[in-house]
Amino acid sequence: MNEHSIDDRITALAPLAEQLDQEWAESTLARIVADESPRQAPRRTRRRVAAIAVTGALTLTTGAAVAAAAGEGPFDTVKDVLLDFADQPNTSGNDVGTIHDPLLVAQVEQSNGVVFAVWIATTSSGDICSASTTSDATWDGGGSPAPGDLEYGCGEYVVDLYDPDPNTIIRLERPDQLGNFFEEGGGPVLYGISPYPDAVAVHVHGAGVDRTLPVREDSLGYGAALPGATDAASMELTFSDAAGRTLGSRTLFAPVD
Amino acid sequence: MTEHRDVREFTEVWQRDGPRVAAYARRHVVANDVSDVVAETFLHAWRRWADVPRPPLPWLIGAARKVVGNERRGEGRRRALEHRIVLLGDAARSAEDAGLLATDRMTALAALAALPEQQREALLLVAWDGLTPDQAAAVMGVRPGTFRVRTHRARSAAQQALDLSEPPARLARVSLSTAPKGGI
Repeated sequence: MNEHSIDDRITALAPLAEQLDQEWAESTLARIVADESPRQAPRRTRRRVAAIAVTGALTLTTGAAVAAAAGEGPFDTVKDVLLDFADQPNTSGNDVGTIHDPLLVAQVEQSNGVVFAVWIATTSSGDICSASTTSDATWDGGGSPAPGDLEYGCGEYVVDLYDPDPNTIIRLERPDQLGNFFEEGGGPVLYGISPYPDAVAVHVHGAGVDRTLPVREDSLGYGAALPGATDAASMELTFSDAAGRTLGSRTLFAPVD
Repeated sequence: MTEHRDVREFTEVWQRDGPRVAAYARRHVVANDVSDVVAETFLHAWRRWADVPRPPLPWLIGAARKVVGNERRGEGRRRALEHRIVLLGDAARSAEDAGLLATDRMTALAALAALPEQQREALLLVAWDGLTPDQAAAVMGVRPGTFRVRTHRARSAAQQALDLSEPPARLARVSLSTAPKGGI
């Protein structure tokens, strides 16, 4: 073993803040503030708000998996990374028990051809684990994403998309709290999980979007690329059952800053 | 009036954060280019000062990262491992200042230099630039979860490289006290 861990050494090597050469600093500052180029107008951006803001990973165990049917490929990869996550030395914490097989929440092909996907897995202790393809993943939906294309965790803290205050953070305790509306290279994407067990469809209404998405039978997840929704500040989600009856609705507040 | 307030605040930021942006640049470009990166970064900041979030350091580091990227594309070549070690060595504290043996310093720098760019950047944005993980994730344009996974991998890879580079005598000393008799 080392006398100093890599963390210790890297931290110890942090550069000392050297003051800028005074003469250069003064002349350069004067040149910069004298710059009369047109100031750029403020630009509203919609960034991908962390649905996964982990404050502490929890220990998982490798007990027999039960629950819903797992397919091949992505499901196995997702489960593997979650179990591997449990074995990492810096993820020891409260025991979440057995991880049940992951279920696909949504798989969305974006306009740039990259597929965004998110899975959820419950645990015997009642915690929620999730995994999703990363912002820089290049998975095209074929086969399985590489483990390096996934981010994952359990017992996470998420932005509450259904609270108009964008700073509201909640612990993920129910599957239907998981969801997001974000925009990156491939245009706006929405996904979530129905709070209504009988839901088969969700109607999404907001600026630039007015369409109905199917709700998955297994995970109750839904999701789609919404290329017209770049200006949406909120969206009304209305859930309905197989008979077309409205089960309820909720307003999702898009994380605009 | 607003202009005066802007200049005053900008000047304070220049004096406070300029050295930190320079420290960031120093590990990415040769010494002669560091001041250019700092100046260009702050020029970008000044042109959109009203939009720059406060505190501005994460934004400035992110802007410097783009400026450095442009410098590199201009050079049109990949940086060799040896070159990365030299840059990191120029930027890092001396062994004496860090309280490390010179050999320990070198093995750490070599382990850092051997990491994939994205992993090295993830580690150093926090450890050297003093950003929070969330700020560093924003600088890199990834979600916090992605950043967390990236730093975890970086740390594991760097630690592994460090373990492999340790003198056998040191390893043997530890293994004597932990390995069962008649072990491997």
